[in-house]
Amino acid sequence: MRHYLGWLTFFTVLWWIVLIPFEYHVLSVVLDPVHAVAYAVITMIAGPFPFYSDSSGMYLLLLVCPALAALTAGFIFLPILRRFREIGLQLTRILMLYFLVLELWKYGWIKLIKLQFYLPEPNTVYSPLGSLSKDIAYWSVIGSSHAYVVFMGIAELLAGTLLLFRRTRFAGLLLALGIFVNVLMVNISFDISVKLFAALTLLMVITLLSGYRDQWRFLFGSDVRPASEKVSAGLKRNRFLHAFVIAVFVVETVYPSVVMKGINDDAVQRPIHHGAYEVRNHPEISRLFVHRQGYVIFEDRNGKRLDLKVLSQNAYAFGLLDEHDQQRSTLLWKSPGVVIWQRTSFSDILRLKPLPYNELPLLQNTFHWSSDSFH
Amino acid sequence: MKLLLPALLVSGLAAAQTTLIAHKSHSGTASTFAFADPGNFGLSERLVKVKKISDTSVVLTNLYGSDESNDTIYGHPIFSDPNISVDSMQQLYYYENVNFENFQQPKAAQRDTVRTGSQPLERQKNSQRDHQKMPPKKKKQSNLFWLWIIGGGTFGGILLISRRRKPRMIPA
Repeated sequence: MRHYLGWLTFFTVLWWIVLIPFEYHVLSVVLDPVHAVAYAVITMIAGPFPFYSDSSGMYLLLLVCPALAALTAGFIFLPILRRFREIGLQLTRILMLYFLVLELWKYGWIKLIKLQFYLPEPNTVYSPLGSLSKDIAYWSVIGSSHAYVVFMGIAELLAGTLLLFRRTRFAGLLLALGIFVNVLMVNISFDISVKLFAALTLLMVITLLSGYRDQWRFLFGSDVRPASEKVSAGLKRNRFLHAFVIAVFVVETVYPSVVMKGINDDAVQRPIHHGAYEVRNHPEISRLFVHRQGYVIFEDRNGKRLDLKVLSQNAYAFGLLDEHDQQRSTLLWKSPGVVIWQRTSFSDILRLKPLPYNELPLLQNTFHWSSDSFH
Repeated sequence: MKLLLPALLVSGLAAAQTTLIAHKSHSGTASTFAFADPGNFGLSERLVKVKKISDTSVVLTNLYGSDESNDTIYGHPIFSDPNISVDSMQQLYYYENVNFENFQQPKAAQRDTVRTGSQPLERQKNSQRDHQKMPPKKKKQSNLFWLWIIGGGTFGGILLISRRRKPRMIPA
């Protein structure tokens, strides 16, 4: 029974790692087909569920993963697998360790290259603070500081690297504990939809830390058991497998930089016409924004906004789509400062003045050791 | 291997932020937008005629009150696309009150061969050459090359380092 519980834990963690609806790059080759099949089967059995971060489908996985684990862990009772029965819990710890390394590296790197907490877009920068929900407000303010985001990235990369070596693993887990407690509290406090993932990852860190009793005793000044009393049994590491796994993790981590061909997303060239514009001649439309993710956003004089997806574009024209009612239109960039918005057989000529959104205070790299200049 | 290469290249940059954050970054809805019906404002130009002068250029005739103005547009995303018929433009894109000149309906044979991917694909490519498209093949291969270098280098480096040390037992 003890061995079965060990393997049950292992397969629960494994199924959770495999099934969580998160995007990967290299690993998506394997995980995307598994997700497609698994989500289709779950939908067939339990009905339609959305599978995104913190969605009901993801919460459903809390039940699905133990159920799947209960089925798969039974295989360990096959005679041919007898010799593996005792290592379930050890493998669970190894699995959690490698998963933490991957996640810390992945998120640390995309922070380091300013991809996760990106420079706020023109439409966000020109939004009144009170009109933003907590999550996008937090994301934008953090993204406005290059130094802080890089600091967070370095901390996560360091924690992940420390986990790889036996001597530094406890220190790495302590650093990871601080990181994930902070991540969870930020997600809860600012209503960012990664709460479940952060909570369970924190649980993994705590579970791993619980195995370091001597280190905790030492930290709190208690007596530590002599080395001769410690049992040092464990699994022998396969060098090739370890090297392969770490190589895959490194490729998965740096993939965005290879595609982006850089290590600073703030410096990446924005799409053509990207920016913020004042509309000078229209009675209702006050501003127009071109978003780097392929959207044109119109703002009316009451501050309400309409975002249209750019389906196709060149230097002269954008083909636009309203994703809510599927209505199409085109935006023609006639000359500097003049665009024509054509929809339902009508055209509006909009005279634009570019707004210097890069010069707004939020996007300046200011730093003061002393506050004297403010007094 | 053949499946691995394009899969790696097509996966692109995964979302670094949550889907919800990405949506809120650009979101805005027509239901809250004040600009509903352009006909109410009376200050708009109205497109009355589209004349095709070449495969990639059209002249748009707009009416502003009783005044006409003509604009030559190169590479219009709708009017210069040979795969969009006049019927589609009028129905799907709501240009039913617009007069289309020199436009030919896409031929049946042309439509079929576009579906099967043979000859007129070249014409389709030409009409879309100014439109933003997927990165060229060379760039994808260059990305894959660097990924293999990084992965292979990491693999070899770790093997080399671990070879020089005693084999360790992974703690329970």
